[in-house]
Amino acid sequence: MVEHVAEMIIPEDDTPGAKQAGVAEFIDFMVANRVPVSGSRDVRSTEDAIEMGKEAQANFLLGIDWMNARCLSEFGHSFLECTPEQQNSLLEELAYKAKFRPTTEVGREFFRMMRDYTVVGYYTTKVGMESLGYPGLRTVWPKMPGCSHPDDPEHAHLREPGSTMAFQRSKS
Amino acid sequence: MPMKMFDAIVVGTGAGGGTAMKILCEAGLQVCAINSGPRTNPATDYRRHRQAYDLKYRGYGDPLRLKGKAHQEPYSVEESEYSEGRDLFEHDVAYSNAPGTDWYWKRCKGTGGKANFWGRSSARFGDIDFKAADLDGFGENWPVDYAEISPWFSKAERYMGVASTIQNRPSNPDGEYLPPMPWRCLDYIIQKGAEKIGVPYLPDRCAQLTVAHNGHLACHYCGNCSRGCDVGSFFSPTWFTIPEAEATKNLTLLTNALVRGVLVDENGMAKGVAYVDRTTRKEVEVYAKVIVLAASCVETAHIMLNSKSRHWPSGIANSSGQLGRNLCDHLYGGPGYGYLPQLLGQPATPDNIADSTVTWMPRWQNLKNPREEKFIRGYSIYMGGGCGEFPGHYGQIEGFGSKYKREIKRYYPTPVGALIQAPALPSPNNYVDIDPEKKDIFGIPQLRFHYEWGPNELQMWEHSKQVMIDLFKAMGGEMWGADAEPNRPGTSLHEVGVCKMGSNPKTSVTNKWAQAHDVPNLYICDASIFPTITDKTTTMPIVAFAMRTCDHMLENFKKGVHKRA
Repeated sequence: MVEHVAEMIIPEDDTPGAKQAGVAEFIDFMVANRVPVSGSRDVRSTEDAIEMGKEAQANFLLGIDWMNARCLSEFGHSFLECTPEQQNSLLEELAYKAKFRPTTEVGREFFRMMRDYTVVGYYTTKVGMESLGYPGLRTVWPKMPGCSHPDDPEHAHLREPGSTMAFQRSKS
Repeated sequence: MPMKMFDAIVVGTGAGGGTAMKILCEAGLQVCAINSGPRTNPATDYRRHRQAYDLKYRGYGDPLRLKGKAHQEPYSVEESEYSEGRDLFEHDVAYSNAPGTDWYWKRCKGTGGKANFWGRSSARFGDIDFKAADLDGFGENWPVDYAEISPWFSKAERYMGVASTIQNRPSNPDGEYLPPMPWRCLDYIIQKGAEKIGVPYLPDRCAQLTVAHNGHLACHYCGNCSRGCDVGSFFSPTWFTIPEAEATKNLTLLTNALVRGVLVDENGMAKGVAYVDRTTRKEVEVYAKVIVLAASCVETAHIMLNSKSRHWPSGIANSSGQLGRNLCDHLYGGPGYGYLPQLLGQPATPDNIADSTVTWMPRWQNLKNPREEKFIRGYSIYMGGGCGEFPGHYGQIEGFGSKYKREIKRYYPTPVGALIQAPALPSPNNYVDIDPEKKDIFGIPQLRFHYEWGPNELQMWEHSKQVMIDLFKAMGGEMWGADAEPNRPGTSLHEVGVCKMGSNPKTSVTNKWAQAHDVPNLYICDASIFPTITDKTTTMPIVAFAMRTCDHMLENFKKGVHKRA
């Protein structure tokens, strides 16, 4: 299920997705070793770290159970047995503020953790970094290139490649 | 077997101590340098072009790695999973915070200290700093002025290699510079906005070798600087001062030797130091004609406060009672972050391959009139952003799926954020002393911090948040937010003041040569002598003042004030 949800969050499209980047294995490792990648608690000692890790692990496992229970009551199947549309509609309820419902706090917390783990797991792999074009993958540069159009200091000439419609819709 | 007598002992091998031992060794003195931790080895201890995927925990680290240590708080930035298992950072020796104090004391005990991992910003202090009391009436001037220090800043800059430009600003005097780093797209956009609101946006003074310098290689821009440079393309003791001192054959370098106190003779003058050998846990004494303390500011005060004797019941050279007082730090925090819509969807650009403060906003407040703002003196801001190692902006975007993934990439070149560097004014509430009860695992009484941010620096913090709101508007940016609170004190690693220099022995610990008023064969070569913190960073000035102090000390050897061993 972790692998499936990770791929829903970062799917394969013009670049590889979470599955190809081995994100599920990463999440299994991090959850099993109780290493959270988010959360605001101050860690001042190993005890704090253990405490925080235990809490994250418990919430994550609770979240998986909640997802399945929710799917059973809504759709009559466990999460993985639901149709892609059903899975998608549940994730949307957990992902978008406009679709939040009062009974989904546990699921929202699970989705937040799951997304954090997936994004971290994906963009700390070589394929993830390559999908962004992370320049630091190259470790020797003859000089720092800097801006290639300093004659337009406001950079007003820059036009975003492709359509901006998707962005405007998601913003409104 | 009795240890041999040295001409000088230097405690600490960081920016100040490393400089001192190099100069003294090159002058022919027999020097014993004492370092608290092990030898730093770039071949094993640094990042060495590794990426997050080379690490087991992808940079998050084993949560149990500090289990059983006396000080288990992990240190951010310099200490990371890349340095795990290398014992460069201090977790065996604990310290205390007084009630209400939340000091974050990061300590690097490997040779070279924190100066192996420093941020490289290297501006000169000016008379606006040295003579601030004349301008606004608060506190005291430094015992030195710009005319006196300026040649030493030049020496330090020529030695270290600092990249910048001539800027003719009243708050930060110009120096001798290597070619500056080129600006990134985001710099041009921010600069235009800053200009509209009357804020300077200029190349930082960055001690990073944009060209080969004094036999050191030019930077190859791998971006790993804050985890240590593999080839020595910025000033660090490991690549500069320590090998040069060793080449003279006049250096004896002791490692894993934690100094607990300065030893005194029958007249109360320094005659050596006592240290605990971390491996054997035995106490050892070493003797010299002159002692130089450069243990990293508050640790220097810790050693001195723990050096109690019949002559110095409250710590060596503390007849003024000023030892440990006057602790000042830079208030750090993020007064604003957001993104530049101009850069949405642009191809990834190598914005952070220099891993440095390419630019800064040098102090612009209270320049025409020292009291034009609600606070006195002033602060500086560093801005950064662009395509980083990890798309930290992912949390700002809602959703999941292909569209979400595209949005992460679309925003990738756009994030920008600010870091304020605001000087805290000296306050009687801010000091270190010895914890009356707690001792560390070696039986050494612990250092205790008393510290709170004062109203002046908190006013600067509020001011900077408004500046960021104005700046984002002026540069056409969108703000995501600002830190609710400044960082914990200690975060900047720029603490100063606990052994302040001054002309009056009744109100200061050292004279203007950083020589203890009470104990003339005891010198200090770190930031503890700076009476105030400015809006600039401390490393280059530490090197410059250490050079000057050592020059004075060598004169004293020549004149016979100090005898050779």
